[in-house]
Parts: sequence; structure tokens; C-alpha cells
Amino acid sequence: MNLFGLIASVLYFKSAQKLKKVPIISNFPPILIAGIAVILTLELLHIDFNTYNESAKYLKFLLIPSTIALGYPVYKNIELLKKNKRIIYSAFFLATIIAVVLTYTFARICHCNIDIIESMLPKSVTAPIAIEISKSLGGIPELTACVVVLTGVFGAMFGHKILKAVKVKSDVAIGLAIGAASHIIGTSKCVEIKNEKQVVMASVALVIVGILTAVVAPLFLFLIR
Amino acid sequence: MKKHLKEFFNLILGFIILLSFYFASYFIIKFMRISFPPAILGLILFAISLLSGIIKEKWIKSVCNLLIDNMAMFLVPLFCGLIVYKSIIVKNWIAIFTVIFVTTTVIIIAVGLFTEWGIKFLRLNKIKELEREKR
Repeated sequence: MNLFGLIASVLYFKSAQKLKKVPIISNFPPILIAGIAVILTLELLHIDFNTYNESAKYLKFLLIPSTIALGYPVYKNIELLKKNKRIIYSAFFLATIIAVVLTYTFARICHCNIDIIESMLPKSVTAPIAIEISKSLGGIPELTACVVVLTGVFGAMFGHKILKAVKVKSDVAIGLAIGAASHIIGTSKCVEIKNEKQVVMASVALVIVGILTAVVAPLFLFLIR
Repeated sequence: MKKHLKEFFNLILGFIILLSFYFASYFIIKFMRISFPPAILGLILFAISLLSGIIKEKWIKSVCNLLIDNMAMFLVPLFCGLIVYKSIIVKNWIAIFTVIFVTTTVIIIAVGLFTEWGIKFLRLNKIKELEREKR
């Protein structure tokens, strides 16, 4: 069997993780570096995508159990959800509704096709959930994956700076905003600056906003048609 | 050696549990004829079973941590699937980038300020209540 795709993906990703110490590159998450490296390899060596995907699809399959595994951080931090619950739950709803409505409106203004809009609607949600939502809406999962990663990269690079500029200081608010807007990639930034409270809040936010988007996005599309 | 073997079996057991949640939700959705992503229903059911104690934390702890830590790696093949859709992105790149920048910035600011002010407001209320009780 041809294991090229599997080995290349894992190898590139693991080496991208090792690049953390290089200045400029360390701003970009490993997924972006590894993804671009694989694409360049395929293009430069004229390898067909199907040859790559033959074994790489097994890696993709692991996204399903990882999505379900996200239930674990919710279970572990359930106490946090009980504290200040009214504010926190309203913030989750606010984030979901802004994300869906604003993405739709802006994409419409930019004259995007409906399948592109459907792929972009779940863009603030962690990738495995976003892909599932995109599939059920009729979008293009590959485009969703790209948009989700770019959103995450943007949030991870500028999230803390934006929040500092508008003078948000509490860790609960910062974690919630980052997790709700830029999912797991933004959360990894909170891990990097070693702020436990932000990490916990962000990881709960990304799961709950993901679940809410799975309900709100199809409902919104249904209402607007 | 024995410890490693135990850890390995624990991982397999956890993985089987996670997959069985996926299949259970897949059949529930098929049976009820609704359109909802099965993996997300699986996630909800999984969290509920953990909270109610049907599933013990120690069975799934190691597999969950392993999967969540490496989640970004599983995305690489999907990200590369973009090659097939290259023309769509090239055609719409301005729209895609504007949507990402604007919506992400707005969400971060709105949610951040809302939560910050909300918590402050609640705290002030609590302090006022306590003062009233003191009187």
C-alpha cells in the first residue's frame, strides 16, 4: 500500500511543531506551515492529489473521534459553566449569532456563490465540528477547513492585541472571546502564554459555540430562504 | 512493560467508546430522519454520559488528551484538499479574506466587552445587595 500521504502529513506537521523557536515562523501555527509544505511538495513533484489522499484519508478519519473527545473538557470544567452562567451563556449565543449573521451578510455583499457562503458560515467553529456543519449545509468541506484555519490564525495572531486595544482585562472575558472567535488555534495561543483560566474558558467556549452553530446555522439559512 | 500494556489497552478501550458514540448517534439521526451532524450529537451524548457517571473518566482520559493534543495534525489532509478547489479560492480570495478579518474582529470585540461588562455589572449588584443587607 502507498503510505506516502500519511507519512508526509505526519512528518511535516511534527517538524513544523519543532520550528517554534524560529522567530517569524513561530507566529504561524504548525497546521498552516505543514499544509502549505504538503501542497508545495505535491505541486513541485507533480504528484496527483488522489495518490496523496489514498493514505492521508485515514488521518482525516481520526477527526470524528476527536470531535467526540471534545466532550471531555466540557465535563472537566463544568463548574466554571455554573459560575456567572447567565453572562457566559448569553455570550455564547451572542458569538454564534454574530458569526452566522455577519458572515452571511458580508459574503452576500461580496457577491459570493451560495456554496461558498455555506462553506464559510461555520468558520468560527473548531475544524472537525465546522466540517460536519458544512457537510450538512451542503458546503465544500475543503474550503471550510481552509477558512477555519485562516480564522484561527488571525485570532491567534491578533486576538490578544485587539482585546488589549479595547481594554478588556478579565481572563474570563479574554478566554471566552478568543475561544468563541478563533477556536482551537486561538486557544493554543492562550496555552502558549500560560494562562490557565483563559485556556479553560476558551476550550469550553469553542465546544459550546460549535454545538450552537450546528443548530443556528441551518435554522438561519432556512429562515432566510 | 506491564504499565505500557495497560496504557495501550486503555487507549484502545477509550477509542472504542468514542467510536460507539459516533455509531449510536449516526443511527439515532438516521432513525429520526433529521439533518444534524452525527459527530456533534455524539459529543453531546458523550458529555452527558460523563456527567451522569455512566462512563468513568479514567477509561477515556488518555485517549481524549491524545486526540485533542493532535487534532491539528488530522486537519492537514483536509487543508491540502484545497488543491482540488484552487480555482474557487483564486476567484474569491478578496471576499474570503474580508469576511474572515471583519467578522473575527467584530466577534472578538463584541464578546470580550459583553462578558467583561456583564461580570462587572453582576459584581456591582452583589456588592450593593450585601451593603443593603448590612443596613
